[in-house]
Amino acid sequence: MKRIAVLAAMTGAFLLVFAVGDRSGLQPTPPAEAAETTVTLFYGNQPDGSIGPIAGGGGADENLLSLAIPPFCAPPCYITSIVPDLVYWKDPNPALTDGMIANYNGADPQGIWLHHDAVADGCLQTVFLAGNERTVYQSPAGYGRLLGVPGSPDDPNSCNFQWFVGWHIHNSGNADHKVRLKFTVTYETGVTLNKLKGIGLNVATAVDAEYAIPTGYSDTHTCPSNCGTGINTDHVVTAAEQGRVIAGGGHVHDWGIAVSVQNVTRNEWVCTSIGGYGTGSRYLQPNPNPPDPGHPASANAQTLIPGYHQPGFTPPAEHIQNMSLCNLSARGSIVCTGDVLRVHASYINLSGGPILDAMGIVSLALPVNPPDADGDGVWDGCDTSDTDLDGYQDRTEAVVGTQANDNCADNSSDPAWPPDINNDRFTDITDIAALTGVFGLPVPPAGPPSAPDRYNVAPLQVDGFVDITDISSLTGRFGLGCTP
Amino acid sequence: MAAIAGGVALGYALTATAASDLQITLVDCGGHPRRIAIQNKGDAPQNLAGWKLMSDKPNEVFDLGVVGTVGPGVNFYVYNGHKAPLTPLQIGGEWIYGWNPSEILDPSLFVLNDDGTDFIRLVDASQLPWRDVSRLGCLGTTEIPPLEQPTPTATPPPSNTDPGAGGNTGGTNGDQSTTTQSDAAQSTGASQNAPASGNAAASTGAGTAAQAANASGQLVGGPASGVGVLSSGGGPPLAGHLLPLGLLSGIAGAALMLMAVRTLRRALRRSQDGL
Repeated sequence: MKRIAVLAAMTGAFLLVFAVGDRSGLQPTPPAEAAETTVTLFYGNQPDGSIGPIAGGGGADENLLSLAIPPFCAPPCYITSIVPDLVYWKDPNPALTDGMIANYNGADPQGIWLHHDAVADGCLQTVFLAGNERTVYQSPAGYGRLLGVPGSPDDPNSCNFQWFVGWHIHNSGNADHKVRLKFTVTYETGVTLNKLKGIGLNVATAVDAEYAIPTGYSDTHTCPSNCGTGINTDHVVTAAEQGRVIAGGGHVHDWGIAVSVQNVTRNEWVCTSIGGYGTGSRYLQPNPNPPDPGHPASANAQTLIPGYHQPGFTPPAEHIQNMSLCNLSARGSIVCTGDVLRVHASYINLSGGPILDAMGIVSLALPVNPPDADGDGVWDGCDTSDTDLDGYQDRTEAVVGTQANDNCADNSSDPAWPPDINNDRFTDITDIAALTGVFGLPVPPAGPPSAPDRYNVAPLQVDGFVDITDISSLTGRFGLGCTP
Repeated sequence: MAAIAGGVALGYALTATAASDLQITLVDCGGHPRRIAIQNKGDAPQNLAGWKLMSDKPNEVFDLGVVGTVGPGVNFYVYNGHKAPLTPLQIGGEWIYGWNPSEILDPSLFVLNDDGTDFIRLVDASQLPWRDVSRLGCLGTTEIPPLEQPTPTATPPPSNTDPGAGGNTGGTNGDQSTTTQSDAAQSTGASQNAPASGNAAASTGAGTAAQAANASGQLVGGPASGVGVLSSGGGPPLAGHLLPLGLLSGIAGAALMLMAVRTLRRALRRSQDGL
């Protein structure tokens, strides 16, 4: 997943440079009522449905082509999953049969691979973007990307009249190849899901999102200003962006360890997305520095996906094949208007020389309409009001997990009043005992071991530990009850 | 996606080379850009005036004079072709020089490919005979041919009033012996992209004698300071882009023309300095 702004810019560039091509691929089926549908879509710009031939012999298709395509589903619909791929199609080599995954593992020892593909709507807003690790887009349960009917309140600018798909495919081998893009898309119709919005963040300023890293370990991050050649400034959250991050992921290149987002204002880590390589990969190297939540000790060693093995290298070249989803926490996931977000990308570059095309990109997904108990335009996670007058600010309850507009539990499974840990409508010894049992432990993302966020009720902007502030908050209300 | 398009082909020495503290430590013949890493493994600085990188084809020569002096333990890099830096670039304190740099993909600008035969060779051409001091093969390359020595040819003697005569492919002013790897040096030595062009002296046959005569000091003349004539049997000169000039004017005429142009440049420079 990548940065919306970058994608928009990139896609915009595609459109400026290249004429809009024919509509290719399969026409999505009309929406069904209350149904979940999965379709497989293919895209190419040649009459036979392929992309290419993409020349070998030291060449590479660096062109960022773009096709106008129908939306992945006919509006109104919610996209809940997109699985990207690159497959051979009409390749000159008969051994590379139609539909075979194209990813280094062809007969050519340095085969063809997907630098990235990008899907944008007609307003050049990101729909999807994947690198060769082919990150899957998966909405959390109950959420989806709404494709509104063009001209309707859900799509007032008719962004879904048509979409665009672009690609950047490398062929660093010697043989020519023909391929096509593949997207497996799941969408829902006839239902109402929670709509998602995005925040896109990028280490680099360049339209192509690339920046240079030195040899060895590096942590390149955005900064307030004058961050160095090609490095972005920090992102300041807008009112439209505020909310709770519910999903996210990032993108780095080979030798990358992780990309992370730090909320400088709140001193929290919002998201850390970690690279994954086949065990034993030359690109899988440890972080030589003490790790922290935003700078892991290493990327993830995983079972090799065969397509990511490139022959001819010792140690083996198992290219980056995965990026983990963000490890979100109750506190770190909250972003408020004016918060400063800083993107870090950590690499351990043992390639023998500086790398000029590193990337560090993160995309965060948030509900379009975050809860706002008092309707003042400030979502609960950032609101210092106490809407339900239970003695705890809305922002506290957003982290603790109680309801900002409910001051008393209706039943034992209705968290409403922060000091009433067991939701029995009293603050008593049973609640205090729950906290003392985990006294001193941190709350996620720290640990394990860690204590539940539900036990971390103080101070008003809650900290990272179950400690004396939390005990005091309960003892100060000892013996009190509430009425639903 | 992979940061290094074709991965990094860690090269390996295939045959013995002349002893030198300066060594090629890596060659990547599949990435965009192609990458060559060089390190001074010795304890003393090394002036690279007259040194070259040479690949498998006669016109694939990069003049390392612009690098100046490399301190002990210092790495520097030459990146080639697509996405190579257009001007010298410092990343993490290490310099990268562009060889045939281009922002647009043109496979013909690559001098290295993982085709089973390609290689890179570091040559001390500051005096005759040239010394092949380090070499690495690309992925799959199993044999690197021996270095061919330049063919001695007649040349006019250097002029006292034109110490830079003989030229340099890098567009520098010839006085490479005083440059060092510093910000100032890099900012003035930006024009590095001339592997197959710019050495009129070589194309006109000038140089070798003068080069030999001046080997211990500032280098002037063709092969040593730029692109040399490698073949012994009247093979193609390496400064292919300027060859038509030689054909039109004749060897002697071109040499005289070059000297005249440089004299004019210096006169202009002096004039500008005086403003």
